[in-house]
Amino acid sequence: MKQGLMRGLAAFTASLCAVSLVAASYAPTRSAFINSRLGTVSYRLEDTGEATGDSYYFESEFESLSDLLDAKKQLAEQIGAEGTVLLKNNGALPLDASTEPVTLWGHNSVFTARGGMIGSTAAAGEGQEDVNLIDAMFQRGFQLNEQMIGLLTSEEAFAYTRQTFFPGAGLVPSFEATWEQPAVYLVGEIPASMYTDDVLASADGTAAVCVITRDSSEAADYEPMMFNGSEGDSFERPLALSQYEKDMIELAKQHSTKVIVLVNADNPLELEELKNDDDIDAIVWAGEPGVYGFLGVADVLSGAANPSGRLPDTYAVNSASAPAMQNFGLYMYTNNSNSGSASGDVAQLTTDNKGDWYVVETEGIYQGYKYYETRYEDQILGQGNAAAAEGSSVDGAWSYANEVSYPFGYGASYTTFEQKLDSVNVAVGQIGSANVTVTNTGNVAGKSVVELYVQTPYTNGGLEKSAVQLVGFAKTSELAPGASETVTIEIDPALFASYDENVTKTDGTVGAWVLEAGDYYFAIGNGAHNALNNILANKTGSTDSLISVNADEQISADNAIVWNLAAGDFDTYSANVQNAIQNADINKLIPGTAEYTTRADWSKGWKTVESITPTADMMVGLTNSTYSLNENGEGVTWGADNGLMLVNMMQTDENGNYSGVLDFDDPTWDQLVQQITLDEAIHFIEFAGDDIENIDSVLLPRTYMNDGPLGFAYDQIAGYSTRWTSADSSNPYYVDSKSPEAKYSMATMPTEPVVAATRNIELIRREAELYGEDALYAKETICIAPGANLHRTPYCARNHEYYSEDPVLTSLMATNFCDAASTKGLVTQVKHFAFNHQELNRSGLSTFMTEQAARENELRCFQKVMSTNATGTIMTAFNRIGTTYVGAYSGVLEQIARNEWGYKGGYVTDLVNGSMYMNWLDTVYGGGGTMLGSAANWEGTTLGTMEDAKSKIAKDTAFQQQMQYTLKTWLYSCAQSNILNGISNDTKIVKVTPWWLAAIYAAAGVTAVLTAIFLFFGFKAGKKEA
Amino acid sequence: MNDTKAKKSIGFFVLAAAAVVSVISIVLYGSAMNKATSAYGFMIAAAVVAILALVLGAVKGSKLANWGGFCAAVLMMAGLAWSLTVMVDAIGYVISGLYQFSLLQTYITFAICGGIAWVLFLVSSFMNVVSE
Repeated sequence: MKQGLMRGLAAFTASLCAVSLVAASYAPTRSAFINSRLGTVSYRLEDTGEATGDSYYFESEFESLSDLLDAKKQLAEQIGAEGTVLLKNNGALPLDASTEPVTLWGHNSVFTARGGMIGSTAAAGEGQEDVNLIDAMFQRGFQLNEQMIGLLTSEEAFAYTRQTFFPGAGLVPSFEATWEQPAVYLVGEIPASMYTDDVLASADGTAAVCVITRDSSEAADYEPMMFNGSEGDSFERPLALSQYEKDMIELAKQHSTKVIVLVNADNPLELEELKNDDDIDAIVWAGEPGVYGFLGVADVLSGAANPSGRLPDTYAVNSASAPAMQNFGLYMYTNNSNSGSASGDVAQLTTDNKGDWYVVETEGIYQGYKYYETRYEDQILGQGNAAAAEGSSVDGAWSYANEVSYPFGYGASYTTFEQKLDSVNVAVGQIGSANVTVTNTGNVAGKSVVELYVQTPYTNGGLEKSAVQLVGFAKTSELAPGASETVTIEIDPALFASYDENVTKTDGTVGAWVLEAGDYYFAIGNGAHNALNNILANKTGSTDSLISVNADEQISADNAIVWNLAAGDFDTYSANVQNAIQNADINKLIPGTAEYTTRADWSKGWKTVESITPTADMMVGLTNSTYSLNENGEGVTWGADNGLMLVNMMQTDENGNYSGVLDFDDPTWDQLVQQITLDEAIHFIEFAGDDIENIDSVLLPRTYMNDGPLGFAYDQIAGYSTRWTSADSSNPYYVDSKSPEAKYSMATMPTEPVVAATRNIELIRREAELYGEDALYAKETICIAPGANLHRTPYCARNHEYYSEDPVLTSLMATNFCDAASTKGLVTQVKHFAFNHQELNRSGLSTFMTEQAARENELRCFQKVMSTNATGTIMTAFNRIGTTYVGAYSGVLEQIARNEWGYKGGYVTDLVNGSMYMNWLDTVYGGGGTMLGSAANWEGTTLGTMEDAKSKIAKDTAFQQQMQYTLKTWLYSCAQSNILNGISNDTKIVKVTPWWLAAIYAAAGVTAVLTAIFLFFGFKAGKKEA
Repeated sequence: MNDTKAKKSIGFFVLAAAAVVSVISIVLYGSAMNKATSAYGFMIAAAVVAILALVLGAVKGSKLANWGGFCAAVLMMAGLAWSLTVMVDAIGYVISGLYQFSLLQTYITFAICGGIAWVLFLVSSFMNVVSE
């Protein structure tokens, strides 16, 4: 009896001991997360006393965190104002806030979209000022109709709120594989019947501001076939106005002195109806402007700021009319894991393969305005079968007038400007310039954006060319009425070179950047369409047949200048260049699968690729079996005693501030890397996120890395104090957990399309500097931003994390952001490299495109920021290129990015969420760097963890060389960062056992002792009983 | 030996039930979202130990069988703990809204079943499998 009791107690305590031992083994792998939540540390840095100076290589320009917060708020307001785009105005704007009472219409004026969901949620923290549209308008002195606000904030209206995860979110993000397209979107508008007579009467005599809102989100997309989930409401397409929205605007028209529509969405909405409605006095695009951006929007409405934003995307009459939309959504291989089956020699895919879906980008280079404007030129010139009915939004022949409401780059002002293209200076292989004189010819002070476009020579049936493409832009200072300013825009011919996949160069390699001989038309204009009209006027000598879609368009042949290139150039921009992603073209894998859009015949390129059966070659990538470990080479050196520290690689000026880093090719880097042990290397690569593991052997402290594009994400770092512990209290930027700003959010800035709309390089550079300041005060080093993917279609709900449909605009924004951030020691992590063009089933999605399209559009977005090494790290995407996981696709990661562009920074995967295709073996071998996630995802799989495979890794020299290269790229970036603040040559890492780990050890010890005691008495009792 | 062979105690049946439930939980673990090899190892060991103890008790009447429940309980708990380590991320994603709860359902079903098995092993460890 007694023995049973003792045995049972022993079983209980031994079970607890087992749990404690498992915890003692596992918890240290999550120490960063636990420490950040409990305010503890696992190590501390200690100076041994000899170093001089403060060892702070990156210092804040602010006296306090409060000053920084004020600066961020002011900047957000300015971006909000300069990013606001005036699309239509019959004189109704600006409003006089002091004399014109305003009624806010639309339920979404209460639940505006200010950012996206997940990594880029706009959020105010505990105790932090939170400014929504209503707050902003009150703060700016507007007299708002409070009776209407009362209705819109009532419980009855709340029932209609867009609400999936939280009020004001109408999309349903999904991280799971889906076999059906998302069918529902909640618009969130209330029915007209809810507006009572009293409320309607209260709006009489007021100016109406009608708010139209659409959401943004990671892991979600809009689909043209969606239906409106709001009870009783409907729409033709989710980016078109819903019936309730139309009804609301009709009521506003009946009860208001003037009607202003405020577009609160980053995805281009269909505004043609409103544009053509004479009773709509003004349309203003505000995008999703973050926590404080509506203050700037209110300034535009009141006239305190003169709008100067330009559209980052084309606003089409029907957003689904572009050729890119013909292949956007859900397409599955015939042998998919759900309902498919084996097909001939090709086995059925498994869920582990995560390879069931594909998308074929049949539009080729004709994405965004490059489609609409190029087809327009061919319509005007009567070539390429441009008037064919295919792609027309109306019955019959295609015409630009029926297709575009507001062209890319368009934006109006409260004043008028005259822009004159004075000169262009172009030379192949050099940075040229264009001079443009801008004069304010109106009565109000304001800024003007100058956009320079180019048309390159096109031969019918030859290399595909866009009729117009952006070369650069500039923004004037605020010009008083009558004042002039001459701005200069850089011309880099590399930005408009075309990629020819078929040309064989003198060295025998195939593929080159080419500038064909002929006339190049450089033109300015209020948007791409205006620039093209200027080109056509110059080219044809007539404006008679030209189509204007904006009443204020001024066409001038003088604003286009011709530059002639006598002989074609294949060499200047083709150093180290060769075809690298040919197997992303489905027609080169399975001939005849896709029909690409072509200028030679616009009736082609409208077919949906409904079905693909992968070939055996394609299955290699789809089944994640590209690489394997094997014994090779002589091995590499690990754990060498070379006496180096990472801080030795940083160069400082006479004041002890950062001034540079040792050249990437200096052999000292190799010596530094060789100090790292194989265990450290495995741990670093396998656990590279959300934090970067410390490497004691080179004295790299633990490095914090978090989202995102609106500032460090609040759901990842809940405030400035999160990363600090009392051990850091001597740091000049330490934020105590009890300070008033401790829980303030950093994710307050406007979304990327709004920033792009400012066309103001100074603003984006300042934004990046303030992110860098945030990093100092929040003890962060790497910001997973900016997003630099292209807006391939208007329907991707993650477009808010990316700047634009134009690669040059995206490239210049991203490059300036990253370059400015680096001056503060903030390492940026540009994402999602590359081709993340839809969020639906993004994990493992096979993405097919031609190499020309890939290089001229999407890759051009990333090229400059990587070739200048303005960014220190790159996050790869979830999708595949062709059938190979992008994070293991050496053609892009190594050949294009490193060999052609000269990128030296690190790569990291996106979140490894249990998907086998994102495995460490393919990633490291393919040049994809480190893994954002946990090795636990491979435990129990045939691959196992890196740690499990250590003995095999130790025999594979090629793999270890890739590991060391990965380490070098990361250390190279970290040596340019604030992570070395406080570290000198005399600093040492001292390991500390945090109390929670000590408690786990103690629990294991106590339960082990108790077990032993119970067992002892159990056996003793057993003997007695015997 | 013959005396004890015929006397199957309550502990014997509790241990038998625990063994059955543990086998069921191992089967259920196969459909969990993320699986750890070590968890499989511990749980299979628990089931095997329990079955051996039952056989030893039933056939040979060895008192060693009385320790079957103790060993199996410890092994089962170790297996459950290891299984949790590879689900931490997924649980976090569900809490943060990135994953839907349905992804965890198979694991939770397994964990409940495994928990019941552990409780039964624990109860059986207080009892004798082989009657005196």
